[in-house]
Amino acid sequence: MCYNVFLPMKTKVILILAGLSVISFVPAAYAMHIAEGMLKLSWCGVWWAVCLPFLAVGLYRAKKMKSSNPFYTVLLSVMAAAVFVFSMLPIPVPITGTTSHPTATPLSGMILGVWSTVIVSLLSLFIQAVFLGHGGLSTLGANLFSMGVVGPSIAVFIFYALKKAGVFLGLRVFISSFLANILIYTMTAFQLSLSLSDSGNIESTFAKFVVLFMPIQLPIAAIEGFLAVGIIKYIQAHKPQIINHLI
Amino acid sequence: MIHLSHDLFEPVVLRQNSLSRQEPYIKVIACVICLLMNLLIPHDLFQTVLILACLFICLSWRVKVRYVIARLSLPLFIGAFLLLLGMARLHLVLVMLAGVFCLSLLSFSTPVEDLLFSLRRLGCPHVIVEVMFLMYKYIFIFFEEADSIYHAQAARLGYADFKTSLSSFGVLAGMLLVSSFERASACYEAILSRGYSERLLYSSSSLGAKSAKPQEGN
Repeated sequence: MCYNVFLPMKTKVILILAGLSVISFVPAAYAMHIAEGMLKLSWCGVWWAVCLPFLAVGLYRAKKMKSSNPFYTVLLSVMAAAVFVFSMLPIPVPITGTTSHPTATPLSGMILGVWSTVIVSLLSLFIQAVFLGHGGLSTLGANLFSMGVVGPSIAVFIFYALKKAGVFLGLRVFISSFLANILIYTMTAFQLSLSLSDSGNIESTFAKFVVLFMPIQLPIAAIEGFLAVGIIKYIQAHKPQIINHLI
Repeated sequence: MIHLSHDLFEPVVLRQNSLSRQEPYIKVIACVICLLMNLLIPHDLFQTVLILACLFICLSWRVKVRYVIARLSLPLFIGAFLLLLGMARLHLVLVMLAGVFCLSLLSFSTPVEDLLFSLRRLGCPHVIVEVMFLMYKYIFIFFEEADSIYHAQAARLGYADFKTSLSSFGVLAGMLLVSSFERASACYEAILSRGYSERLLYSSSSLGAKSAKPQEGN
């Protein structure tokens, strides 16, 4: 870089680091799970209540699957760990020069099924909340609803609708995880604006969130889609029996 | 970034403080009560006192400042961002800080095994506790594996530009998933050969001889 030689090296490094950290926390403020204490208690209760039936069905099915096939427990735990690790890996974002993380639950929904994904995301959200400080216990219900219920079910719905229409596998995976990612974050914006707006201006708060963050979120969602295609392609080449039901 | 995640996990391993030998389920209940009160009491004074108390406890445990900052950076930045946009008041930021601080204290003083043990004692379904126990064991293995795959790829120009970094990331994630399924079957055979039939037997690690024997916790 020849145009800023007049600054000393240390100043340049500090400036670059400061700029990067400011830019990288703009999407982080939004793309992370809803933090502890951000929602009012009444809304926490509402989202927990909304999640409860899904959790109950997921638990019932997990118990049934476990008694018929003990391998299921191990499979679920390994998948949960994988989702946890994926959601902490950085993705490069070309426009802002930042990194974001994949949500990975749409993919898990396609591979394991929606009901198992509810349990998987409950576990990884819980560990993230307690041991990393991402998300929180009171907002776990809201996060679980957007990440563990809305995301995978929309992804699976779109995936099978496109399968009926005869679209090939890669495009199907891309479209469904792209749309699921967008929907997860729209849902998060909706939950935030419901709780943060004091009275009557829910629409304006929601619009503010969407307008501010969608330009950043769209490329992230596209990248998550590409990654999901890469993962599915790799699995198809090396261990196709895992995703036999998708083809 | 992957090293950073190791960093975040580190305080989980080094825990010897005044609360670490208390009954874990009492700590969980106390933490939940604190969180509820934090949400219920709308005075800034309560949150300030809570934050200062947590800070004092952290200082008395000599938790490294870096870990505290790592925990608090996210709520601080979200709070500052929302304040700048005029979407939230200062009270919300205080509530977020106090909540995250309470959760951090719980995790600074309780190993995962104890936490799961207490969840079981508080009536959490067996499937969940068992899966979480196995999952926690895997997280570290996966981080190591992801780390080594990442470095192998980077050494072979895997993340040279944006396009290759996307494809290498896809390969990394796919490899993790495939190897995780292989690991799952190996783990299943291992626990099966050690007499696993219906449920795992696990013990609380740090509570001394009183409850160190394996408990079925039904």
